[in-house]
Amino acid sequence: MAETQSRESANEPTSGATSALATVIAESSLSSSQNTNDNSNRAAISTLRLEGTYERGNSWVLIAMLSVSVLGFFVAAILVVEGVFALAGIGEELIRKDDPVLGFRHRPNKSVTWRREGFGKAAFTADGLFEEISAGAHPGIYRIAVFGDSMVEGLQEPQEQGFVKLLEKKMQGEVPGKLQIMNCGVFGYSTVQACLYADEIIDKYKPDLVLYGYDTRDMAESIETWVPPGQKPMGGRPYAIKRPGAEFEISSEPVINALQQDKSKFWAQFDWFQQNSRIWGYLSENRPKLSLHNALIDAIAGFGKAADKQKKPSFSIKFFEQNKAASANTKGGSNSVSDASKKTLTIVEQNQKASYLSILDSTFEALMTRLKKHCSNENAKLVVFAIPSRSDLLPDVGAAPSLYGVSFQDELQFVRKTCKNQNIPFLDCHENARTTNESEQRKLFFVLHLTPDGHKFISEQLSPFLKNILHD
Amino acid sequence: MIFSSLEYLIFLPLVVLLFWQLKGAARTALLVVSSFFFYMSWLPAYGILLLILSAANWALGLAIDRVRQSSSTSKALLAAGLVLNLGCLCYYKYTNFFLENIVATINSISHTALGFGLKIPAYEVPILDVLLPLGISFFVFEFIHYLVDVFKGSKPLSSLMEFLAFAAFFPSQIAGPIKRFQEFAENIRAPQKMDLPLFNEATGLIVQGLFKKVAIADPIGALVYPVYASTTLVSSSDALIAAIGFVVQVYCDFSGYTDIGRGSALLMGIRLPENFQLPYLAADLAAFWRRWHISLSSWLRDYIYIPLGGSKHGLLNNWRNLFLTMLACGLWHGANWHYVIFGCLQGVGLVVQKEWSELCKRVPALSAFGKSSLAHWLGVFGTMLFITATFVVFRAPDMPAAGRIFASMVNFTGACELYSPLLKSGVLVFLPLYFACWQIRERGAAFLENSRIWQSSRVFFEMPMRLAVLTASALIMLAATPQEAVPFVYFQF
Repeated sequence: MAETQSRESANEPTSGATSALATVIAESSLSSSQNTNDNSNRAAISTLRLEGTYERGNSWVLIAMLSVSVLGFFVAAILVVEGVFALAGIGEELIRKDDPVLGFRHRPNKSVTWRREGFGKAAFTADGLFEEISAGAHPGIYRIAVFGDSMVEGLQEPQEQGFVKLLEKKMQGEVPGKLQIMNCGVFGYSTVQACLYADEIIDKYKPDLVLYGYDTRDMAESIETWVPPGQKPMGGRPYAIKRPGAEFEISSEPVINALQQDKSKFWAQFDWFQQNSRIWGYLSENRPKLSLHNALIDAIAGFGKAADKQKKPSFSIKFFEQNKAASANTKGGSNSVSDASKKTLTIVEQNQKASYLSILDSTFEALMTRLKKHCSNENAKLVVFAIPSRSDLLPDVGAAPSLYGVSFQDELQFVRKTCKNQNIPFLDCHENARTTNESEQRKLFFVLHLTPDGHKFISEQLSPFLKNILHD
Repeated sequence: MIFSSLEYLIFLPLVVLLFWQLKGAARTALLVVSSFFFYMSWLPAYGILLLILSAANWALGLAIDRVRQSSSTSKALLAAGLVLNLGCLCYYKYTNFFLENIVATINSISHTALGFGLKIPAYEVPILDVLLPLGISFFVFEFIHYLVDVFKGSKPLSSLMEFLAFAAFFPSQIAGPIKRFQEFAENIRAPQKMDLPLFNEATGLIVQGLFKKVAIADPIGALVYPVYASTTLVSSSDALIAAIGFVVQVYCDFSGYTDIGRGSALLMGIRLPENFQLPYLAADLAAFWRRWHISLSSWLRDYIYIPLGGSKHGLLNNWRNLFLTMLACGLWHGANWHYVIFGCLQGVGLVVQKEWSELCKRVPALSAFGKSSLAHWLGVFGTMLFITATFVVFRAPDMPAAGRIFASMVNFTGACELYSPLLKSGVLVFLPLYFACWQIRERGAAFLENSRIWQSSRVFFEMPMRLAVLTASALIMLAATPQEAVPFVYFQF
């Protein structure tokens, strides 16, 4: 029967490829029926009749119906997978939303199931916070806002086990009225981002105390998108910098430039999917695991437009190469900037470390001065504490213990110095963790982030320290 | 190369494509080359062992066939074959077990003798550095089956290539099913014609197996592992989760492996025997063993239980035969006392269950109750309880550890440390999803076959639906799969 139909198809000049397709489908339908039973044989025969009708009429109808069917089943499959992912909490780690000032912030109204290192579930409010907080004045409530990066955010465990909530529970009754502690930690925030975010939170929620948790490389990340004058800054974070003899600069220009790129605009079109689709979330967050390269997407995004040759600047190159360029100029070298930019930085010399550290130091001081001033204007206190760093305590984790020769210990030196100079209360939780033995230290971390034990440790450290400050 | 690895997902289609391009002897040669490539990807040296052992068994089979008229010579050849195969198995699998136990016994005697004032020097026998060749328990059992069947009158395989293909066939090489050469030879000589239903069946089995492995077995394995790795200070809830978890893990892992293997073979038109038939729904222990690892159970029945006398020659002999068969089953799984005890428990369980069945037949009230659905489900529950308990013995690294797990279960103390990892693993979603899909497939297929709309427009729905199911399965498996492929549980046997 299938052969007859094939002949018919061949004799019909207008059918062409579509008829051939119909025949293949009919053959496969018949062969699938042959091995089942009489019922399905009858079905196959009726199917052939059906296809025969289409073939005599218009095979495009058959293809159109098949396409609709494929599309329908595909959509159904996607919906089923979305449902399964929602139940299993998969693909809910895409928590960042682009922001022209901060670089990125928590996605509003996003439910999160965090699977990296530990496991925790959370849901962000419309403001990207972990719980609904009333804006403005808050009589009868003593409000503390805690800023920092993922170590403060604590998505690796249930929020109740994070130090913010533990602290809130521990310190209730230490202030007149109710104590409310806001977790304002955001994954990947540098010091400058935390300060800019603090500006926003202080203005809106009027905390009585601002607590900043300093983590490894927060300052390095704060200046990484800065470029020498005359170049176009580009990157995911704003920068702040206080260079010797220059004014303190704080700018979101790298973020604005980055958001104006074709690639960013292209991805911005898919914001609904980023917000709502767990499949999208899973694939986006697991690109390294899936070895998916986004070169193809880049090519699609930039199709028909002049490629933007401006790459994301790297502080490691720009900062030191400026020195190299200057040095080359003094030696009478020509075309020094372009020559220097061809070289990658591999060895950090002592004088470079010193100048780098000095920039970090002066920038941190400028940032804290600025933040303290804003706090004072709103009658809030500023307190800083150092978060234990695994890369310094237990370097076996694989993370480099230093960046350009600057270790966490070096960073803490300028943090201590600034806090002393600015009269900002400072608690060194890292140093306190160093005094414990190695097995105790291991209990504090999953890989890089804090375990519930680590959060408990911080809350136990902070609790008496803050009590003293509150009672002063 | 693990079935759930990317390498295998590249290797299999290549072999399948080549297989259908070739014909006759070239096809068999392809199976041999690809199977040895697959096996030697683990450890090349053991490919040589498999090759030599296969050649020896092939030659022995031909020799037995040739001297069939002389009973004593063929018996001697069979005995030589059994010694060769079992010797190999014992050397690789049991040498250290025997040595350790001999040394432990001598040292125990010397310790006791010291109490009586006798000084016997303590011995220290060096432990041999022997690495167990993958799948040795499976292919040795296939060789024994081959020799015994040839001895009993089956025609041996005259072609060495065919025998090598039987011995090393990659879809069943590492963890079975234990094949029967008569069926396999027929299959490779005349593979089933590849058509759409066969392709659908094969890919369906592969996807089902992969899902069971990567979405259920591996995440549960990650929960179970730490509990059995350190059995001290385990809370009651964790001990229970680990015990039940292993029951689910081992089924999904092993039946998942079998499904992928059967599906892979089916892509080449070769049908491997079924290994599982919903064993956890068995209403008694005997039914469980008829439905669990069927190819091993039937091998044990044909080559141990029946030769020992089976259910003939009186009650006590029957008890002995059941016990010895299950003891062999336990020992087959590994060289450790907990496997021996696992086998003994199964043997005792089968004896008790057999006598209970006999009693039920004799007492009318029990007989009537036994036919009710309540009795059936009580039987399922009781069997599962027994299996769960004995699988603790099976999974634990040793008997003291198994004892600690049992003790933890009844301590009713400690916090549930596995709560968060259990939620994180996603199995609480994937397992019901698997059940739902299984039920939809079982019931849905029957419904669709009777549906006139489906029958008349099947062509519009069938292929798109299959594509959609494959896409959804692939996405879910991708999300569930661990970073690195996890070896199958039965690889260690």
